Amino acid sequence: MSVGITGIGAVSALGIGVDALWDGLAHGRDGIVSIDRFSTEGFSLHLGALVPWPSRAPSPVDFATLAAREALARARVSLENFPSLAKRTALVMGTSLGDGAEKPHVETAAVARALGVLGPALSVSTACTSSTNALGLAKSLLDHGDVHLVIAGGADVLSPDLFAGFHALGALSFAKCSPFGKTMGTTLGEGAGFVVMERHESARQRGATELAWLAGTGLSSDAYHATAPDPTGAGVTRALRAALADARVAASLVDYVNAHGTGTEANDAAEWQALRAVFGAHLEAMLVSSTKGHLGHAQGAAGILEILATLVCMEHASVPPTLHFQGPRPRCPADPVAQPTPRKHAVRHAVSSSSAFGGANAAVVLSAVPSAPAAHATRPLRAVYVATTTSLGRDGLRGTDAPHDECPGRLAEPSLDALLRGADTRGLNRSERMLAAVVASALGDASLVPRGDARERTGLFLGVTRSSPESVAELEESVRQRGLVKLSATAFPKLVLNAPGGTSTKLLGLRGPSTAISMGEGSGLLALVYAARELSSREDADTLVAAGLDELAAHDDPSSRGEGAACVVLTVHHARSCGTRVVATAIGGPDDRAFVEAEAARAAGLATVALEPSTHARGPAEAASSLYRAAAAIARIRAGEAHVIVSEASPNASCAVVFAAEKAEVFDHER
Amino acid sequence: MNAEQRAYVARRNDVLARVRRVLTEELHVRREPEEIDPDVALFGTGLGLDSVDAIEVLLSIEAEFSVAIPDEAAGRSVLRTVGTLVDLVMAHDAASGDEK
Repeated sequence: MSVGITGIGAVSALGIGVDALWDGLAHGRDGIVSIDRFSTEGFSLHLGALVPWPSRAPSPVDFATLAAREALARARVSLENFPSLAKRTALVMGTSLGDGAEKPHVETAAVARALGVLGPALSVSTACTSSTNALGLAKSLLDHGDVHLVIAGGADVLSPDLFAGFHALGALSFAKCSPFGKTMGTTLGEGAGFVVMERHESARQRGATELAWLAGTGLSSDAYHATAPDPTGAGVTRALRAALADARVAASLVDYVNAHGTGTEANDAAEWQALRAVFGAHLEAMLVSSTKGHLGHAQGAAGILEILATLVCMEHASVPPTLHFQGPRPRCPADPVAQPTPRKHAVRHAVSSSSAFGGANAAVVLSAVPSAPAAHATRPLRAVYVATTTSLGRDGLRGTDAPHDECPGRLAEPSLDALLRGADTRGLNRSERMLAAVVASALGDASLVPRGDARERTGLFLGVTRSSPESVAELEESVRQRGLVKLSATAFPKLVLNAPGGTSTKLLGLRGPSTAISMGEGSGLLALVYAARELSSREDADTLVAAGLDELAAHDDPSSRGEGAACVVLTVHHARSCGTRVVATAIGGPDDRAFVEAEAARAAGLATVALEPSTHARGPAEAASSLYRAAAAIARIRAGEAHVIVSEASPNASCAVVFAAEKAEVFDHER
Repeated sequence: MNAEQRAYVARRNDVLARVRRVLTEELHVRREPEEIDPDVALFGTGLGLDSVDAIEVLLSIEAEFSVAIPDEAAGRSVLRTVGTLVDLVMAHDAASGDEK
């Protein structure tokens, strides 16, 4: 179902606030400057799109709090004075690497506290698609009825490490970023953007004005390369088609696409291929542009800032232009609205698309509020079965009937060669190896390693809380030995939290929807909840692997902390079921296990449900521990239990899942 | 073989060993160092490196041998095989020797 956007807020290189964003667009200004916040000595170029900011070290939390406060104010929402609304309000924040100081979920919790949000505070970290992707998770919370209101978007800062990483990869432009134009390369940026989203009836009831609708969202994985896009554009094509199908908007009804358009040779050509595949001859009638010439590439905040640029222009019956265009580039659009100021063009439906390291793609469909909304029949929900589980322990991998208990300390090094015959596993870090092992083993046990078209309908939802410590150490070592200018170009892209997931999708050919999300403790269970809901309510995937992953760093204390790699394969194929179904899920506010357990049991129509006990108040493996318990619950059901509930709570959020034997008596489906 | 030739061969063997070490340790090539043939291609069906690794190869060689490889020298021909990387370092030896 579409949801309403009732407030927007922006912190961008064009200034603080949505008005500054519009003013910059309307007057043909860009926010690209010679970087003065940190030294760029030794680099071959010095351009960046910096937020005008009084301090020399802004944090993503600063940017996000300011932008989200503006969005709440414009939506006329006050959380401070209405604790019951604050409890039913969620924050979903997309961040890539931020300033490197904190884990994404810790930053998200800090923003939630600053805003007075008392509902779930969830992180999405899929590199440069983070904030676009965050809107999909946010819409799912509203669709499912967990909350009344969601503040969704993202934030990132342009840090010296980020600049050095993109510089080492040769992705930066010597001139200001010129998407689809003669000059190739991108310019990095930063900022934050947020929207307030709510269901249409809630907006109507509280007298709020809908600015536009978020009509649909889509995700995909290239399953191609860690940094380079699939040159055929097939990955972007899948995300665009998934978003249009979710929105039930035909490609021929789209008036404008705000492209990812980074300006690099590889991205722009691949993206144009995708747009030609999806829109065909209709490209003649619609417009395509990229606002990275104004805003630079703001990483985790890029998608949401581009969505906001699209929305403010839609309000003025126009579309944003592409700046700095000095003439067309082969395999790119001839006229990407190449002019200084917005072009008059009425937009009913717009699409915004983002792509990222790890082969992640995300797209959203935005619709002008229609004068007479068409009534859509709600789709029937599909039953979701558990196919298999796999957990990694001290003595290797175990399958569905004998799962490992989680344990502190380091896990066995899995052998990938037997699981992934002939695959190129050179240079994988420990996170990538552990995750690929459990995913390959679980899909193999279920006979669900996809072939042919099934690849496009299989994806991976990963709960993970931080970058791979092995790759962080490798990057730091390269900086120590060779200096920041020559940091390791191979280690740098492995720092994004979706990198291990991206590698598994590549090794196993999983091209369907994929994401990386976090709530700290319980992130793996959150991934399972989200995956189960997507399988149940959407039609773009048939099998989703929900996984949790934790890698210990050399300096971590192995007596109190542990590694973890566990996954649960969910599928709508009844023939692949292990006899267990996911019958209900719930997501709630911080440290509120009792609430989500009661909600999930109620949704399953059950008065009493056996609980899978938590073996540790706080599991040794932050993200994965909850999936070890989910695997134990599934084994109990296979051993004769009718229903088992698994829950987890953290300072960010709480979530719960009810598993049931297929034969067990339950409500036909949730809600 | 005179002393100068012997010194050249010894230096070349030393450089090859260190290039092999860079490939196995820094670039994570999954072969025993002595199994890396000097004539094997770095990219594609050879050692399987890719475009991101190309940058890392040059930076690692620069760090290992304390040489600066100018952009114009870092073309495709230099990055063809393990042997061409050795040639690059040997050429740098010769050039810096002339300056002495």
